[in-house]
Amino acid sequence: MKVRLERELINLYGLEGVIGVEGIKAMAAAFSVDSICMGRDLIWTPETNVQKLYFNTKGVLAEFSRVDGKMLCQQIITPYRFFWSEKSFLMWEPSDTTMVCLKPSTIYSLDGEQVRKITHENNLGFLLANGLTRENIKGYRIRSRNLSLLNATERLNDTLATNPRILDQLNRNELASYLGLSRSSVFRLLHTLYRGKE
Amino acid sequence: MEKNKARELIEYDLTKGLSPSNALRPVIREFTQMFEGPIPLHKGQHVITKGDSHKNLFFILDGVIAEIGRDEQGGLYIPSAYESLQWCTNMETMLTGKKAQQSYVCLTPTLIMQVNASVIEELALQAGKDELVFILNQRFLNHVRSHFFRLLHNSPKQHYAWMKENAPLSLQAFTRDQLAAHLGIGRATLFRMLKTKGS
Repeated sequence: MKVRLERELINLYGLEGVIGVEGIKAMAAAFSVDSICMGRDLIWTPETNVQKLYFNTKGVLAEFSRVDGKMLCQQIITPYRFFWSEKSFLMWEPSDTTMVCLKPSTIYSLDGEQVRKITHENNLGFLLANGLTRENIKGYRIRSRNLSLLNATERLNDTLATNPRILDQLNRNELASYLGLSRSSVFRLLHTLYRGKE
Repeated sequence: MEKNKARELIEYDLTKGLSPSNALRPVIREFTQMFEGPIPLHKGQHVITKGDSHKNLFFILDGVIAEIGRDEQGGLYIPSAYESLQWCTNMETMLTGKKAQQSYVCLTPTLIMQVNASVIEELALQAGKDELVFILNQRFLNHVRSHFFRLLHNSPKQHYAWMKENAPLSLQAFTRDQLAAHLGIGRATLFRMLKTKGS
C-alpha cells in the first residue's frame, strides 16, 4: 500500500523527477489505517472539522451536500483515490458535506498536523495544498459544465463513460441526485438504455 | 479610484481571516504594490481572449466580467461571472496549462487591477510566500464551488432569486441569452420563468 500511496501522492503533487520525492516517501509512510468501513458508514458529517487527508482503497464512497433539506450527491470517490473535505482541509471551515461509504473499504488517513509537519521538514511548501485546490476546482468546473450543457441522456451517457460501474455503486435515488435529475427521469433513461441493449 | 485605495481593497481581501501578527501580512502588502491600475475597460472588451495562455491575475474594482464560450453545438456557455471585489484569471491555463477555451469579456464598463503572471509564478516558488498563492486558489475554489452548488441544488427560479440578491450587477449585465446559459437552462425556459415571476 505504501508504494501505491507514494505513486498517487506524486500525481497529486504534480512533481517531476526527484524533487520532493523524499518528502513524499515520508508522507506515504506516515499514513495509517483510519477505519474499515462498511456500506452506509459515515466518514465525516457536516459541522465537523475534518483536518485529514484520506486515501480510499478498494471501496466506493460518495459525498453528499444538503441544501434546503435536499441531500444531493456531489462526487463519487472511486477506488484507490485520495479524498478530503475541501471545506475543512482547504478552506479552514467546518465541513458542509457528508461522506458516506457505499461499498466496503479500508480507509487510510494522515492527520492535517502531520501533513504540515512533514511538509515543513521537507520544504514542500504549499505544493500539496495548491494541488488539492486545483483538483477540486477542476472537478467542479467539469461537473458544472455537464449540468449546464448536457441534457438528461447526455449526462447519463457521459457519467457512464467516465465511470462504467456507477450503476453498481449508487442506487437510483443517489444517481438521480448526482446527475441533477428527478428519480423518474433516471428510471425512464435507464429503461431506454436497457431496452436499447436488448 | 486612486491606486492606493485600490491596493488597500486588495490587501483587505487577502488578509481576511489572518491574525494581526500573521507573517504573511507583509508579503501581502508587498504583493499589492505590484498591481497595475486601476485600468478602465469598456463594455465588450476582452481581458482574456479564447486561445490566450497567459495567467495574469485581475482584481475587479467595479463592473462585471463573464467567461463566455460556445459548446460543440454552438450554444452559449457561461461557466462563471465575476463582480466587484472578486478575482479573475484564465482558469483553463491555471488548471491544465492549456489555452483559454472561453473569452473573459467585460459585460459593463469595468475597472480592474492587474498583476503579471510572472509575479504569481515567483511567489509559488518561494518558501513563506507560496501560501499567498494558496489563498488566491481558495478564492477561486470558493467561487467555482458555490456556482456548482447552485446548479446542483437550486431550481432555475431559486438560482435567479439568489442572483437578484447576491449578484445583482451580473443579473443586470447579462442579456437574456447569456443569463439562460449561466443558469444552465434553455432560452424558452428562462422566458417562461420570467413571465411567471412577472419580472
